Amino acid sequence: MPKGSRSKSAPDTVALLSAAVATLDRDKAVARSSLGPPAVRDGLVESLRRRGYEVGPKFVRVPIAAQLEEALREGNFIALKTLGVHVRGAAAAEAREAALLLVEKGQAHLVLRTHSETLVPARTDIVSGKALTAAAARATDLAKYLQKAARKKGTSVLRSDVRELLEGALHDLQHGRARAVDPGLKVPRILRAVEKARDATLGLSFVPKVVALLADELDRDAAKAALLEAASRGLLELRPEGGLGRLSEAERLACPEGPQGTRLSWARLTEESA
Amino acid sequence: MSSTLFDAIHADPWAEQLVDLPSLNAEASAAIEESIVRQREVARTLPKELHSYSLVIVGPAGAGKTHLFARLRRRLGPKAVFVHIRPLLNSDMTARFVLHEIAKQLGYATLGSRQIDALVGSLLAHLEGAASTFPQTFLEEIRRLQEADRIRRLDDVTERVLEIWQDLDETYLRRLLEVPFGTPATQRAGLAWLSGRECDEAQLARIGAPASMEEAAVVPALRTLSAVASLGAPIVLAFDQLENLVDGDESKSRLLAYGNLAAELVDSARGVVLVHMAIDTEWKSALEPSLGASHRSRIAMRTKLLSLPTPAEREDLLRLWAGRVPDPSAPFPWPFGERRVTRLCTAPGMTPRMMLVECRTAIESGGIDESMPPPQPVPIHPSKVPTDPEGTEGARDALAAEWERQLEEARRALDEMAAAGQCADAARIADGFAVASRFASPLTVEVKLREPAQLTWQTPAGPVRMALLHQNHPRSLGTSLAKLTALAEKGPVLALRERAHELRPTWKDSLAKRAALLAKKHARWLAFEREDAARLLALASILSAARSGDVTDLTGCKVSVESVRMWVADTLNVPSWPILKAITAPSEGEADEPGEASSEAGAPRSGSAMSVLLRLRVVSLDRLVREVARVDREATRSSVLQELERAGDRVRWFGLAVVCAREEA
Repeated sequence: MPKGSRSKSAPDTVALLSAAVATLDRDKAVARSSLGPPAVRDGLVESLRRRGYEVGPKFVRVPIAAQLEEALREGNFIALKTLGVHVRGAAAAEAREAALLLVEKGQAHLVLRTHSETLVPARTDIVSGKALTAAAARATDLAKYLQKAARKKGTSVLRSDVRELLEGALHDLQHGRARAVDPGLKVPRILRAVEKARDATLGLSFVPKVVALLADELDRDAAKAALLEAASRGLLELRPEGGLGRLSEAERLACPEGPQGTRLSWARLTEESA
Repeated sequence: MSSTLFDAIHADPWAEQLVDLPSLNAEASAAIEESIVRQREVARTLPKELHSYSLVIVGPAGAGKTHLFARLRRRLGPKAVFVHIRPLLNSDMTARFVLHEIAKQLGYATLGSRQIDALVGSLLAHLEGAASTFPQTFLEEIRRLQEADRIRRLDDVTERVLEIWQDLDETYLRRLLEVPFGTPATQRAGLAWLSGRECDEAQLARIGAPASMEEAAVVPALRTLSAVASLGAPIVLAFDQLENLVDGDESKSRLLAYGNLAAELVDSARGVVLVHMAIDTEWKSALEPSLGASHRSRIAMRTKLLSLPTPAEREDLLRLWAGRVPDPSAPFPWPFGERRVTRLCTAPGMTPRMMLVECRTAIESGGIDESMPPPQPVPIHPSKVPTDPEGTEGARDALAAEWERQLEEARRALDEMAAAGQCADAARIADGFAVASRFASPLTVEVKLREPAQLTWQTPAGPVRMALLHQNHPRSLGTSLAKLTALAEKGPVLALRERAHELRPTWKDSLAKRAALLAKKHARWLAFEREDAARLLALASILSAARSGDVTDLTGCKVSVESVRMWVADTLNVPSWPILKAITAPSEGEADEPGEASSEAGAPRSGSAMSVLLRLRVVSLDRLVREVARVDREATRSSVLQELERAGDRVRWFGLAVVCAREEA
């Protein structure tokens, strides 16, 4: 931010305003104290308010809802505990309030992931309402079945049966999207989704997020096949999950299988894709 | 250190031999190399502008993070000082810990040249206007000088460095410059002092120091070391396996402590290159979000992502490895086979380590095996963990082999410390105890390294305070003993001291203070055997490796942390380890009187003491016990004494401390 001149001439408010807007575009928030000299600060704040920016006691910021919407548009899953990472210039309580408002308006879903409440894009494939009750009932049936087997000494169950039952708990809830697709034809879409889900710091895209971004066009298996096809053409690098049990079951299933029992959970565009 | 390429599927940062494909991750190598060159240039041209530089290197397990360290170490040789640090698992890393690691690794060699020689040699060469490319040669020239001339030259260099940076610690600088010119014993003593560790009286006398380094001198020491090194061979501090800082509820506090330490190093140590290495997923999901903005801006000045090898690089790697197989019976693709090579070069998500594992399998199967199908992936999702160790004998064998490897590594580290006259690192031992406590339910332990009793055990009978007495100087040992005596008024206190570092008969004050401590009803003394320490270090290390994805089964599949924990619980029977039994069952004869055996170790091999004595002929009892313990890990002082007593006239005693073997009639 350019500082106001210390000379007797009046500060250039137009330049200060455009610098503030540029900072807001880039950083999403700017401290009021760094807008310019005290004499013109209130005027600048008012101009920014008129342009649609939110004004807080210490910061001027891009509206919290807009910041969250942008993060969700990029395919981010945002744990409520980490809202601060995605929202700049707002207190945690303010950010939480804005997040819940988005859910109320149907512009996002609030899902429970292990122990943390997470905000996900509205287009994400979720299980809710009656479907959630049905899945819980299926899971209870499975638990009873396994407990029964466990109680009978010397009795075991077929692994394939357990797998089938586990998959069955969600199978009925699928929306019948399975379609035969030539993975090669889908590669450009895959690359666009990978680019969209790209993390700015590391340049990596989380594969389940890529698959979620493609949910309207491709089912999970088709998306995985297209990812593998793009990798085999050298357009992207699929990388094995290195995390310590961080993938949920749904995320794991969204990742193609890698060598030696790994799951390929991260993608990176190569130079060939440019 | 690695023996052969295919035996060592995990990179050894200090490997003497390295098979390297320079094009792989060349960008990350170049980033570090550029930082080193830049630090040296700035130090020489604009010393007042010199700051530290910090970058983050991330990639999946097996992508080559540790290999990168080994590569740069070999490529740059004496042009930089490389320090490899793995984080502590249960306590915070401190500036003193970092200083200790730097000074310890100054004694390590690359391409036959010790890093301390490279540091001092290149510094002296630069300040005297010579080329700093061959520091050893320059050092040799100075070694040939008369002592008075050499001292004058070193004084001159000291003055010139202090003219550049007035805030450096002159005493530290002088002792650093003197190290390469002393006798081996003086050099060991010098490095011990420079590391900030407790020196014994003999070491202090050798280097003419009145006392070991105080806490307040640690940060100035780091500042001095890093600044002077930057003029010739800048220090590269590589923190590896940072994902180990993430561990349940404690994660944030240890992470924040790490962030504070890194920030302190950036702010107060000039000219150092900090490299933070972690698994990419963990960095993104857990490490980076937990650090504050001020930490992030200091730690991640630049972030580099390690790539996986491209198909062409994979083939180059395979050719390199094939070239290392002795007596090849056919040209490449032997011994891997065409089909395997194609698969390895095209499969997505293949890391160099995965390829190495597959190649090892190919070689063990005797060469080309075209019919062999690719190994079936074994799921490693936590929900399937219980099947892992129970289901496959292979995983168990691999874990047993990994345990042996870690144990050997721990013994080597302990021997290294013992050779330098130092007790085992209390922080690492405390780490080992903390990990062991998880397998010795209902025992739990809390670690506070700054307390006189660093560990507080919660046992069914109530809390027990445990002190790791690692002091080498009788005065500081006496101080600790006095504090423990006061603690023993309030509750049970266990004092641990390594058997190899028994209190010397001349330390009368310390002996009196120990007697005062042991006169307390709640105080006990335990002698800590080398093998006890090795097991604790190995346990912490294997779990740390598992968290970093560095523990794999025979087919190369990553073994999860849970599986390793289950294997440890099933196989190692940690609660039965003598040192842990001493905590849980103090009344069953585990408590030592000083000088007695600490453990209920099994009967030692008969005759080991006599065979060692016959080899050494005349030896002190202390040394005999140490030597016997090297060949027979179950041996204790009392078992050696018993064997000597049984030998009757075949041995002769000189006083109570020296023994010799009589000539056979």
